[in-house]
Amino acid sequence: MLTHETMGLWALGISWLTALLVALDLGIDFRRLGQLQGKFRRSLLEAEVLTENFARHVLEQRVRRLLAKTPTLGFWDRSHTSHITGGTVRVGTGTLAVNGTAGCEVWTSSDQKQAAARMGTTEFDALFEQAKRKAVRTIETRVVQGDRVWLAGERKGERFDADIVSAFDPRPSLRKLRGRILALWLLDLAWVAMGTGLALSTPHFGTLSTVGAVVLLAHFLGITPIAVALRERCRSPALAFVRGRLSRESIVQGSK
Amino acid sequence: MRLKHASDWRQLVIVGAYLGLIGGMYFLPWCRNVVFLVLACAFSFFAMTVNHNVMHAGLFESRRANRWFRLILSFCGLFPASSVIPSHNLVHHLFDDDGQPDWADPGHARFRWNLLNLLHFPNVVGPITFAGTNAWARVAGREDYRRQSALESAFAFGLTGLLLVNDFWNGLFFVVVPQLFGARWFLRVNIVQHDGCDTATEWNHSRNFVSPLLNWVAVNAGYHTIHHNRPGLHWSDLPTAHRAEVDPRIDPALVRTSLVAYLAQTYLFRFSRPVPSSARVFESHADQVQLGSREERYLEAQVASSKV
Repeated sequence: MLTHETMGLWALGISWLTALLVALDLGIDFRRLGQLQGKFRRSLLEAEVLTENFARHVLEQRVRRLLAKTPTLGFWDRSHTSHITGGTVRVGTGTLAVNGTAGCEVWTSSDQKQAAARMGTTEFDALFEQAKRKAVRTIETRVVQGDRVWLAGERKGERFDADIVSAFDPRPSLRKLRGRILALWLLDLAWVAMGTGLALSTPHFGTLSTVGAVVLLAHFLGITPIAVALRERCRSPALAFVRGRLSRESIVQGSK
Repeated sequence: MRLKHASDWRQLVIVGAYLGLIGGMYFLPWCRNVVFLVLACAFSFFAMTVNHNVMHAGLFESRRANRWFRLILSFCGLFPASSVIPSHNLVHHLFDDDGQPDWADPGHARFRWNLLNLLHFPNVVGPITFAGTNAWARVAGREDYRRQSALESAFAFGLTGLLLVNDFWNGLFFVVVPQLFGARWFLRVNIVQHDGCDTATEWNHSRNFVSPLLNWVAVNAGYHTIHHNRPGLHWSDLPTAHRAEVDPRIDPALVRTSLVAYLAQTYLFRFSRPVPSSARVFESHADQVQLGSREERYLEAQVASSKV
């Protein structure tokens, strides 16, 4: 006979296992971001680009018409590509020749990508027409002459082999992401602990205990989408998703 | 209510057995034992394999009957049965989401201790699949899917909610637990069937489990390579097609008899993740067989999905 007590203990075990798995999985990102912070402490170089076309990031998106009252487009990322031409940068009073290594990533900020993706109504209408069938658009963000860049890699005399070319100071965003992971760890464990406390309250399987089970069920179903959303935010900025939607109406309102 | 295929009665029996098991545990105290619970969890997964099959080819000749049956299947796994169309038929079968990884790609699991990958896999691919399905459903022209999916969600969550309101603890332990078990194993089986396989190959992209007993209750879900390559083939024809087309072209290591033995060997008795094998050599030795391109198979799946 399976009593409620036996089943309740199993359910508690599954809730805690889920909480720990979520925490451990986020721990992988926490560690990776920490390693990046260490790398930036050792080799991050702030410089000014002196070459016309230094680097670019290309994002290709699938465009589809969405079901909405007014014309609306949806965007799905297809590919993210980093291209480094390299060139000369000024560091302090000297200059440095920068080459991209194989697999070098170009990090442009979300704001830069959003700005590059911005369009007017004419462009929207053309894309909306194309989106009847298969449509694709490209968002290109560039690092050009006069831009400030943050370079990570290896310095060899007057040469710098970069494996990351960032158009923004990456350190604050790394700190923020690690902070978010810590906050989610706390939320995850506090949520499941609160549910456990309530579920074990007396009388067992009474009203308060039932509330505890609901809290634990909500944790089981709710914590993983939050964790996956954070996991996606922790992706390298070179691979960050820029998915979304855009209505014609919002363009018209934005231009007013 | 006529079945399209005579052998499909087995699919009805499996779903009926599952509903009988959870109904028994919910209503009858003497059914609340380990045997019933284990069987209910197992049959919940088998009902999900039925869900998978009927989203490739409807069970009944009547379209309306097929839609009603989807409501029941949605209750079985506590998610809209129709979501299998975008997530499985249109994305998983290509191993690709228009340039991005399959929502159920084994690569989403990233622990060094392989057992954790098996345990955590649904926690990651579940939300990815849910978000992907919702985004897919928002595209214009998919109103019929949205309506059906909303109906299925309302039925599944409504009926489960009623059972919980009527008797919370028995509903939770003996209805929701088996529902979630089946739905999560339905996601988890993707890592079992594809981890370490070369999804770029035509015949070595999947791991197969050929135990007759497993395939009886799982309606031939073990024959996964041939199902990927010939998604229009009825489940009852898969073993014959597997022997004719897959066996000569597949690495024998990707054809296992026992699922349980494989799980034990891969996730319990070893710590690390197995190294992917390069199995192309097995394909090059065999005669060529006519197989549509992935794009053609995708279009075929799209057309078939619109008919179920």
